[in-house]
Amino acid sequence: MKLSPDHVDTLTEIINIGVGQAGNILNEMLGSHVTLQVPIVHVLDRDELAGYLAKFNSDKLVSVQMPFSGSVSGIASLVFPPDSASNLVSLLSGERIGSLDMDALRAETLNEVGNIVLNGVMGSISNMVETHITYSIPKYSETSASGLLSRRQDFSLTIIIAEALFSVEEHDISGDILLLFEMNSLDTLLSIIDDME
Amino acid sequence: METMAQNLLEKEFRLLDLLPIAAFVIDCDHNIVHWNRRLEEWSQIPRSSTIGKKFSLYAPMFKNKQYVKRIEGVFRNGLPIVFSSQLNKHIIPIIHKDDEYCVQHTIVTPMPGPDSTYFALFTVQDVTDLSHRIRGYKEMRDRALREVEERKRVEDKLMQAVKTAEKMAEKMKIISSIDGLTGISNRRFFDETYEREWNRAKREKQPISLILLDIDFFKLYNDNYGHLAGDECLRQVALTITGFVKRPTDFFARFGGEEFVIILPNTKSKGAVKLAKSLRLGLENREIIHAYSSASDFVTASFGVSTTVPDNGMDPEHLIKFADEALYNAKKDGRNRVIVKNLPPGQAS
Repeated sequence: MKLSPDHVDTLTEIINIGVGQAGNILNEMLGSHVTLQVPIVHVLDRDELAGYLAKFNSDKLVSVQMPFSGSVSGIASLVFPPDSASNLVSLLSGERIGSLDMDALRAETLNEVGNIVLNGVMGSISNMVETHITYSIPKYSETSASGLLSRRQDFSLTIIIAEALFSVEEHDISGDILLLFEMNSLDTLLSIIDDME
Repeated sequence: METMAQNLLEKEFRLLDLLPIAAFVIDCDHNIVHWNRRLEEWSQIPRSSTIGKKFSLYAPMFKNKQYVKRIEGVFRNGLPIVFSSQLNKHIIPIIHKDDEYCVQHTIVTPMPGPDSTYFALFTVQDVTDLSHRIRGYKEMRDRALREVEERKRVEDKLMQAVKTAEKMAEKMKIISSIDGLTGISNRRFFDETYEREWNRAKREKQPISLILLDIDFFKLYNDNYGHLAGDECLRQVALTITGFVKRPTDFFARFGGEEFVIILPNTKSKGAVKLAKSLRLGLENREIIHAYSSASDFVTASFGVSTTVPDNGMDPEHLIKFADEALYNAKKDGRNRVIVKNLPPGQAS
């Protein structure tokens, strides 16, 4: 099953609304101007994802994962390539990059950042969904690209990847983060999108 | 009516009193509906005074619009929230034993309530000790790093000093093996070399010869021509010896005063005498005027030659003693001559 270009456009818009709200919250937390944008959304299967992730060429991808269940079940993840993770943490915590407690801080800080962004996006999505979705507490993990997906075969039938770009003007920091949704089915999502139009 | 509703809620949230972690619950109007036992102990704020109150009374950062906005998702969409200790330090200001606020890691979990509303369950974990440990660990590590750097600097300095000292020692060794005046080997170096050559001759059962020579009437030369001329005379003698002792295994040195010594390994008496004789002639032929010598018109020397094949009964000193006695005899017999006194094998003295 494929999404039509219209579907992708709508999805991009929904995600952008959520990401925009998250950006506002980060703005207020940082007291500096954070821009968060999602220009591209891909819909992939498991095999295509491996090829897609190869470009990050890292064995240590940091991710925050929030499982959800209901009419749509799956896992929403925010993936930080290593540079983005370091930049964000040092920006948010005021810690020097490479200092010792980076590792200790990283988990906590990125978990909260991930939580803010994912809540923005999932909030935006669930505002469209009539039925009930239950969310679990976000979980922080560091894995290789291949360990990024859950081992639940039913979730990984459909993967939505959103490339988000963030930039912080005052600090000249920018980077990309990935929004990754593994879902059991696209049908529900498609019907939601269709209902909107 | 309100009391009844509160009682109902109290029943519903009773399980939270069993949690080993501080927790409280608010409704969608931000009123506190539960304040668990652990939080009561920890904050020293009794549950009875909190129920029904706005939670921002106890968690003042939620008077801030930005934080209110963040918990809206809980009530509207049932989204959980993380307030990390790193970015927020604390939700409820509670003084720690060191007059500091407790560092807190807070998770807000949506709890489904009636009519598809949500309660927000705040679980507040005290991570003060952990964060202190991390800070302490960091300080420890910084200190260790500084010490490592300091140690490395000291080591580098030490290594440099050692290298300089080694170079100096090397130089000193060369300097101390050379006679400052004549530029040929000195007595110390002779002692070293002689012992080595003696032992080798003994091992290989080969003859070894010594030539001891002493400038004739050197005191008179010094007294009459001056010390500078005396020094120059010594240098000329050394130069003459250098010109005659050619074999690489041969060794010569200033023995002391106006006395010189030549070691000739693997050399029989005949060869040693031959060299001593040519050297005697060679020196006289340099024609260094010595008007105060009764042996010649020129600077000459007396030679004592001794040869032996060392064996276990002999001391290296014996050969020197014999050469010295030969030299003494050469002086006694009128100087400017070569006298031989060999040390027969097996004869100790």
